[in-house]
This record gives sequence, structure tokens and C-alpha cells, in this order.
Amino acid sequence: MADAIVAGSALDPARALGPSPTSRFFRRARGHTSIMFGGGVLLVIVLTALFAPLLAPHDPYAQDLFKRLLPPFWMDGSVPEHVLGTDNLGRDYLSRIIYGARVSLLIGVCTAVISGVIGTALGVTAGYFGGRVDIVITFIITTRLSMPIVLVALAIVALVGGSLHAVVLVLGLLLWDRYAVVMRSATQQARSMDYVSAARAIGCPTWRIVLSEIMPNVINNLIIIATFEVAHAILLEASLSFLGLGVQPPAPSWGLMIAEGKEFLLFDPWVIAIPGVALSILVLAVNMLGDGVRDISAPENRS
Amino acid sequence: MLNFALRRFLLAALVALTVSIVAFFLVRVSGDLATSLAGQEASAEDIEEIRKAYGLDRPIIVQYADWLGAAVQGDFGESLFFPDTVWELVSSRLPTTLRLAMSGLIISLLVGIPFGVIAALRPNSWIDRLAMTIAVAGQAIPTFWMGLMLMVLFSLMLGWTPISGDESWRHFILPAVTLGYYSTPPIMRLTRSGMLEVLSADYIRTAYAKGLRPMPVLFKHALRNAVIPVVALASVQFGHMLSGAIVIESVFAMQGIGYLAWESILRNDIAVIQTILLIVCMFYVFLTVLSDLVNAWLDPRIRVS
Amino acid sequence: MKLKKLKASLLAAAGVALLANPANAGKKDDTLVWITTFEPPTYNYYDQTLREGTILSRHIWDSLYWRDLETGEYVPHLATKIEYADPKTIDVTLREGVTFHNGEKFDADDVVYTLTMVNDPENKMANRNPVRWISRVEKTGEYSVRLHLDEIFAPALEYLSTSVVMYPNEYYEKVGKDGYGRAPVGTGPYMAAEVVPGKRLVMKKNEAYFGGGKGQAHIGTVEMRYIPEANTQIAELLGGNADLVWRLSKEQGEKLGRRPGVNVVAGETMRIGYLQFDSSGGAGDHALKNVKVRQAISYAIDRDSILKNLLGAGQVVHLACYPTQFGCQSPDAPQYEFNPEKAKALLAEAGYPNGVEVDFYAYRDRPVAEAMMGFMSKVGIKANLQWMKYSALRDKVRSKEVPFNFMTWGSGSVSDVANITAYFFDGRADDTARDPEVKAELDAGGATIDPAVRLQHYSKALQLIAERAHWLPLFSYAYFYAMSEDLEFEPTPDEIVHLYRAKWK
Repeated sequence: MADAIVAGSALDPARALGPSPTSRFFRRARGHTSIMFGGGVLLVIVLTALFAPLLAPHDPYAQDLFKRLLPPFWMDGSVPEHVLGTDNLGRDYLSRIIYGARVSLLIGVCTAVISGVIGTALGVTAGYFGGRVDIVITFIITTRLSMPIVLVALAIVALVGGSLHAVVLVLGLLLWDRYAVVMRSATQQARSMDYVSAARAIGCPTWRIVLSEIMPNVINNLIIIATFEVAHAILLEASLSFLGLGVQPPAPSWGLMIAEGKEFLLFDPWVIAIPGVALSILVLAVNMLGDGVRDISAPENRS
Repeated sequence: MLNFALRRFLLAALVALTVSIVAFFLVRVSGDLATSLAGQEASAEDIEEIRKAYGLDRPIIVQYADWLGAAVQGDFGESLFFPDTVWELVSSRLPTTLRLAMSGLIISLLVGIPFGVIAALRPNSWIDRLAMTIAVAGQAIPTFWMGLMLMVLFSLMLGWTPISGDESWRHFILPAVTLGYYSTPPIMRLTRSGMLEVLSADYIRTAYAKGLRPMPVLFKHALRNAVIPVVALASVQFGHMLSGAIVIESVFAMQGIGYLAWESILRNDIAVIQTILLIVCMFYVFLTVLSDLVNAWLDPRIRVS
Repeated sequence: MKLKKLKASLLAAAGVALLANPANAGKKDDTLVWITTFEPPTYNYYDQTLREGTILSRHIWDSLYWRDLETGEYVPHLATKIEYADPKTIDVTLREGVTFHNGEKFDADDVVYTLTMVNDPENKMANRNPVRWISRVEKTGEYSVRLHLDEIFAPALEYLSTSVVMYPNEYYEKVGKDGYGRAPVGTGPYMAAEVVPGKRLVMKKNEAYFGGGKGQAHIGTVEMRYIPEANTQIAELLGGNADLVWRLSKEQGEKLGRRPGVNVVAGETMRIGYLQFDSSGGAGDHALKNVKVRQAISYAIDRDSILKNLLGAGQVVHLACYPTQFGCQSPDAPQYEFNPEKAKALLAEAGYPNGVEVDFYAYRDRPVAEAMMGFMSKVGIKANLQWMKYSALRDKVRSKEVPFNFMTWGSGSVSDVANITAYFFDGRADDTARDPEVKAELDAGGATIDPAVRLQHYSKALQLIAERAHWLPLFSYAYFYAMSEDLEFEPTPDEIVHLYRAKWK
């Protein structure tokens, strides 16, 4: 069978040669459209979030009940001072989008990182060691998967109240399931490669095998899951906010703006479409960046 | 094999026990059962009375032990809100959710894997980019939005499908498509990346070099190795579908356990929550086993360990 | 209509047959389809606490007297006469010749059975509240009963005219609690014809209805369908599969009203929103113990503007009750008009010239809560919103952990102050004010059935509540109803959809 043939490319003799890996990485990145585009958009969003007070035309908290739900610029009845219109309480929608980027980015990235670390650690450990370790970790994974997030969220709200920290922690500590499951099976697959067996045979320490032989082979899967978890976390924050766990009003977040737009869905779809498009752009950028990083760091592209 | 099955069964039982303990205590701290049972306009006395009548004034450990004792004998108790037993309630609604989740999963696999393969065969081509944009950007659209948009277009304006309900298979088309859509992108992306990796591996190059026909190489060797993480993901996605079903079932007014679970959590209907969790947990254990078996079949080397 | 044309041409082109929907809504079938959000867990009215169940109680069943929806007068219904023998004894003479939907004769045994059975804690009825005040029922003749009370219960007649309905004793005994919940039988203008769990309840007009205070129903079939998502309800209405939807938001109502074929009306309800302050300081040493801070909040919030812009209908209320409830009048009570300057001044007087920060709890109407927070922040009160589900919040209020909260109360549709003011200020768990003077007035008002004396005490209690700002009553809620243009239906303030009053145009 063909799959018995050694997939030797990942041993990657090129790694030790030439300029340092980091500088090669950046050189390659510059020529890669996905990275340039994805990274560029992401950078703009990050800068927007950082400099929100300078960029926002209005105070995102200033409400004016007499100017509620003014439509955005492309619709009839819009006013020039509110380019993207106003929300249900008459707050400037553009300013809320700009400030909302802070919360959403924070939640998306922190959650993806926390849960990524947990999930990868569990998944790789289970996949690499197998046996009893695998059983214990499978137990943890299955228990987690069977536990509804809503239930945890409501309990935490009742116990300690809601806050931004609470939602990041809850999401980070709960959303590692997809990482763990995918990493586990990817590691199982990588572990059975001959070069891993070879490394073990020559007495390489486990941590080195995991870091230098297993990880490069499973990192693609990690990046893909991570890019989806960013969007997942941002949207989930919205539903948790509605249960009282997420950001506390009047602070805006994209997820919350989308969830609040639900009431206006049929007749004023722009209320939901504006934060929805913002989130789509963020997710797309993260994905393109992830894709690009995958392309240029993948073993098969290195020679 | 027997050993394997036994270990898995023990694992399942252990998971179920842990989940039921954790859930029991979470429900308790998330709001007073008697208060939600008595309804919004109840007085403090009503609530006390209900607390006594339902035995909610006893120590929580005793209540849990009671529930567990009965559940072990197959008695899942009675819902606090519905007059039916929990088992009647859950078993009458389970088929709808399963049908929904199964069709959703099938749709996402049928769309995700072929598109992932095509994208990998022509990386960075327009079709790769288009597939990625449609799939990925849509992840930012919440389920209820997507569901209602499809409903307005296909049911209200075109009249092709019924607006809401779950009486016939036609009622399942839009909900299943909505649900399936959300699982497609990760499956597609994983397939693409797996295929890209495998296609550049030496044994595939060798196979091509030896003059083997491209199609069998693609399907027999490449795809087989590329979908291993996808299989694992699919099992989790199926579980995510059960939770995605909460929104879908409420938007399309379907009587499934997703919405029942949601309602029960908000009402602290503990017996119903516990039973649904138990079922969900059994599914996961089963799916994990299944995906492990499928993967062992796809890649015999995994079995060796 | 453009939409219809598009639909027709597409259908013709694709050769797709339009699906026959289970709901044949509309005038031509004489079937009114009403979509609502929640399905009652059981159709046994006394064993559930949902609004939908309360609404059904007026359709399938009847009360002894009936409160006329126009005049507010209590008129004979299942009983021809109700009179007090003494303040703790009520004599009831029943109407003769009334039969239940299954043909069972209505008589004193049914009344005795219903009231006794519901009141027995052994039977674990979830909704005992309507009859809890009746301690014993005695049959005094085939068509007469006597109700014995342990304590004076002022709103007795109101209860007997609304929420206390009669079950058939023989049938109930035969089918049991759960069986009755699946196939309810009453005397009402509609009878349950088909129960499809999770989906709908179909009711047929009771052709043999005795009329009484309610009068005959007009529409032959009424179908209640359950759809949790409001947008889907609207879609069904626009698709012609429903004739009536309710509880829409202001925006949904306004936009739907512009559609051809749809009429939208707003109906005020007895439900009022309020801010409840922990003025007794049970929740710790917070600023709201100071009456000046509570008054500052009362002056800071522009209730008119919130009502007009966010809710769209209803009225601002100034007393801790709904204006038409019995006893809800207090000419000397102060009213807090919107006055941010005064709010700032009061805050400074209270010793908080630089503002104050306090936790604020809520469970519904997030935009309203946020709007109030916006108004408070303008005068320097920073309210940190704690959002939680109702049962968790109510527990927290009762265990005295909440400085102030935004809640609503529908008085169980009972038009008497006893069901709201007396409820929240009588020293029990829900009373966060713990004001002995208010309690004394309310107790005095509840200790008599003499309307004049009651009015006098309630007026004083309401005045004290307003002066000391224990509550900030906000506004009454209104529901927006959207209906097909063929339907003639007028909402009533009791938060009950009286479908037997609906007709086709």
C-alpha cells in the first residue's frame, strides 16, 4: 500500500540550512497575497480597536431617544453626522462598531488562544501516548462535550455575575473540544509515521519528538480550527451576553449588536447586517492569514 | 475487541455520572427551582409550598441520590412543568432533532469534502477562493439570521417550502441546509489542507510517477489519509449540531430536544436537563468510538498502537 | 400585488405545487389562527402558571361572576347571585341549566369539588393562587354553595369574576389530573377539539353556550399555534397562515402596519414596569438607603421619552399600581417629573456631589434598562447592570442582595391594588422597603370589605410609597397585535386575548 511509503518530506533537511527560519518566513510572507491581504485587514481592525477613541466620530455611549434607528448612508432618511445610522437607543452606529472591535477582538483572540492551548495539549498528549492517557483524556473531552455552555453560563451569572473576564474565561475553558478532538486524531496519524518511530528508536526525548516532529505535522489543523473558533467565540459571546454573562451594557460588542439586531431582522435588516459584515470581514481576514501561514510554513513548501 | 467495548462502556458510564453530578449542581446554583416552578406572579408562600411539595427543601445530596437511584432503574422522573414523564417527553422529541442533525451532517459532508478536494487540486484558484469566501464569511452570520433569510426567500417569496413546523420532510429542507451550512467550512478547510499535504507527499508523487491513474490515486490513497482529522471533527460537529438545533428548532418551530433542553435550562427543569444530557453524552461516546474505528480502518497504522 | 405575481410565475415555471399548510387560516374557513410564543405545559388551568393558560381559562371555562370588559362591573355569569353573609362568608346561588362540553350538568357539586380539589396541597396544583383565599366550601343546595374564609379577602368578587373557573367533578374524577390536562372540559364559549402537543390547540365554538356575561362566540374555529420565534410568527402572518399575532415590539408593529392586508393595534395591559429600591438597606450599606438618592433617580429618568420612543404605547404611571385597579388613587402623592437638575441637586444634598455607583439588576427589556442607565449616568449615577434570568433575580431580591432592580408585574390580571401594592409592601419576602407605616395602612385596607375604607387606606399607603420613593413606577406595557384585515378584534387591558369577542369583518 502506498501509505506505507515514508512521507519523508517532513523530516525537512532544509530547516537547518540557509538564513534563519524567521527571516525566511517573513520574506515568503511578503510575496503571499493571502497573508498580505488577511494580515493587512486584520492590522486595520486591530489599529481601529486600539485607537477607537481617536477614530470614533461620537461617544459610543451617548444615547438620544429622539434619534433612534436612523438608517445608514445608502438609505433614504439618513443624516450625514451618523454615517452608519444609529441604534435602538439613538447611539451612533459607526462609533459603536469601532469600539465594539475592541471587545470582539479581545474575546475572539483570547478565547482562541486559551482554548487552543488547552485543546492542543490534551489532544496531542492523548494522540501521542495512547493507552490509559488516551482514555483519561477521552473521558475529559467527552464530559466537556456533553456539558451545555448555557448551563455553565447561567450558573456563573447567578454565582458571581457577568463580566468581560468571566465570558473570556468561560469560553476559553470550554471551547477547546474541537481542537482536542482534531489534534488527537491528527497526532495519532503523525505518530505512526516512520520518522517518528525512527526518532523514538534513536532515543530522542519525548518532548523533542512532540515539538519537532509531531507539532509541525498537526499545526495546519490547529490553525484551521483556531480561525473558526475566533468567529465562534465572538458570536457565542452575544448569546451569553443575553443571558447576562458577556459584556455589560452600555459597552458594545459586535456579537451583541448582531444579537440585538434580531428584533429588526425582517424590516430593518441593516441593523444586523452592519456588525455582521464587520464580523465577516474579520473572520475572512483571520482565515486568509491562517491559510497563508499554513501555505508558507507547511513542510512541502519549504524546499 | 470485547475488552475494548467494555472499556468504552465503562468510560461512557463514568462520563454520564460526572456530567449528571456537575449538571445537577449547576442547575441548582443558577436559580431556585421552586421559584421558576411557581411562575412569575407567585408569592413567597406559594414558592415555599411548592418547595415542600416537590421535596426541594431536602439536602441537595439527598435529592441527587434520589434521582440517580431512580435513573439507574430506568426511571428518569417527571418533568416539573409538563405532566408527562421525562422519558415520554424526550423520546417523543428526539427523532426530530436526530433527523435534523443527521441531514445537516450529511449535507455538510457532501458539500465540504468534494469542495475541499477541488480546492486542494487547484489551490489559490478562483474556485478555491470563492469556496473559501462563501464558506468562511458565512460563519459570521448567526444561525437565526441565516435561517430566517432562507425562510423569507424560499418559503415566503417563492413558496417552495413550508414556513415552519416539522410535519413532513419538506419542513426539514431549510433547517437542515441552515444547520449543515455551519458545519461545512471546517470540514472543507480540513479536507483541503489534508489533501494539500498528502498530495505533495512522496508516496503520492511516486504513485503518479509509476503511472497509476490519477482518480484511484486521489481517492484510494490521498483522500483516505486526508480525511482522518475530518472524521474526528465530524463526530464533534454532530454534537455541535445538537446545540445548533436549539436556535434552528426555535426559528422553524420544530419540536425537538434542542429547544426542549434550552427551555428546561431556563426553567431549571432538572429531570429533563439530566435526561437530555445523558442522551447527548451517550451519543458522544458512541461517536468517538465510531470515529476511532473509522480512522483505524482508514489508516491501519493507527490501530497498531 | 407584486409579490404574489412573482410567486405565481415562479411556481408555474418550476412546476412546484404550493404546499397545503395544516393551518387553514382565514375568514373563508371561519378559522381564526392565533400564534403565540409558549405552549402551556398542560391544559389543566390550575396546574400551570403561563399567561397562555390564563387566557385559555376564559375560553374553555367560566367563572361564577364576570367582570364586564367595558364597564368593569361585576355581572352574573355561572352564578346568578353572590352576596356576603358576613365579611368572612360568601353565599353563591348558581345558574341552573348550564352543561359542560361533555354534557355533564353544572351544579353545586362541581363548585365544591373544583375549589376543594385545587386547594388541597396534596394535589400539587401549580396555580393554586386564584383559590387559596377560600378555606372551605359548603354545599347548601343543589344550586347554591357557601364559601368560608379564614381572613377577610377584599378582592374576592374580582377573583370570582375572573380567575376562579369551574371544572366538571365527574369527568375530572374519571380522567385524572393529567388526562384532564390533555382533554380539558369546561362550560366556556369554546371547547377543546384537538390537542397536538407542541404544536396547536384547536377549539370549536360551543353552540350550546349559555352566554351569561361573556355572550356567544362569533368565530366557528379558533386555533392556537405555538411558535417561539417572533420573526417566524410574523412570517406566518405575512404568508397568510395566521390571523393574529401579539406581543410584537414597537418597530415590528409599526413596520407590519404598513403592509397591505395587515392591521396593527396596540393594546395597553395591566402590567407595569417599576424600579424597586432596597430602601431598608437589607442588601448592605449602599447609597439607595438615602431617600434623596432614590428621589434623584426618580427625577433623572425620562419615563415619557422611554415610553414614547422605545415602547410606543402604554402610559407613564405614577403610583405603585395600574391606574384602573381598585384602590389605585392617591391625589396627594408626589409625582416625579423628568428634571435632571433637581436630580443632581438632590444627589449633592445626599452627599454625593461627584456621583455615585450602584449595582442595578434586570431580567427583561434590555433596551429599556440601558436607556434608564443612560439617563442616570447623565446626572452622575453609574448603574452597573447585572443581567440574570427571572428566577435567579427574584431569589436574589428575596435574599436581600439587590440594591435596586427593574422588574414588571401583571397583577395576575386582577384589577385590585391588593394584587400589587399590598403584595410588595406587606413585610413579606418581596418587600424590600420594610416600611412599617406603609404596611399598617395596607393591613388596614385589607382588613375590611368596605370600599370607602379600603380606598382611604390604600391612598395613604400609595402616597407614602411615592413620598419615600420606595418604588419608581415606570409605565404600563402595551402589546402590539398584528392581524389580518378581515379580523375585527379589540385588545383589553387585562393582558388576555378574548378571542370569543373577535369577529370577521
